[in-house]
Amino acid sequence: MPVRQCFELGRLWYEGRLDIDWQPKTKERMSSIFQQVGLTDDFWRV
Amino acid sequence: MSAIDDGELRHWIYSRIVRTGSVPSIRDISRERGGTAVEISDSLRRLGDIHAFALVPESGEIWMAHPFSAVPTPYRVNTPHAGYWANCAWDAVAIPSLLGVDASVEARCPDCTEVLTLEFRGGEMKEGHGVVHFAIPPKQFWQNVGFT
Repeated sequence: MPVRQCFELGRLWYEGRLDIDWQPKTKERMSSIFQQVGLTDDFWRV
Repeated sequence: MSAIDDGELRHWIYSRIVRTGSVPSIRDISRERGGTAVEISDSLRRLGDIHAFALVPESGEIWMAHPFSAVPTPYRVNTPHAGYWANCAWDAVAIPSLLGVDASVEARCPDCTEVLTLEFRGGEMKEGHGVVHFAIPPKQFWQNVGFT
């Protein structure tokens, strides 16, 4: 993927990682992030 | 009942990485934060089980505190405060946003070994080119996280 798209993915993926109440992402949250950055094909299905 | 609060330890480790640029060893944690090596190892194992960290299998030390790497990699992120190793290209370009700081990312192309430099200012990526290759689908990210 273009590096700019990867940058957007990383921004969303690691949101809250430094917070004390961080919790692992649910599959629903992962799917939502992939869709938000336009990753919708089968490869990205969780 | 465990002597260490796993969530508090996780937060302490990330704060320490952000401040210093390096991922602490079990010994570092024991010396700087407190707790015995056994207590810390047990807590790290529990945190590893929920993918808060990836641990070195033999030693139980932190290998990856995503997006940060405990060991040098082809992906280096430099900020005005500290420098960080990232696990992969994805992690490298995520670190400036995570930290909320301006940064320069140097990534060595795994194909031709050329060093690509990307600049991040004010929360945005400046001009930069390149592609990031994902060989492993998300469903399998943790089956062999080192390869991923």
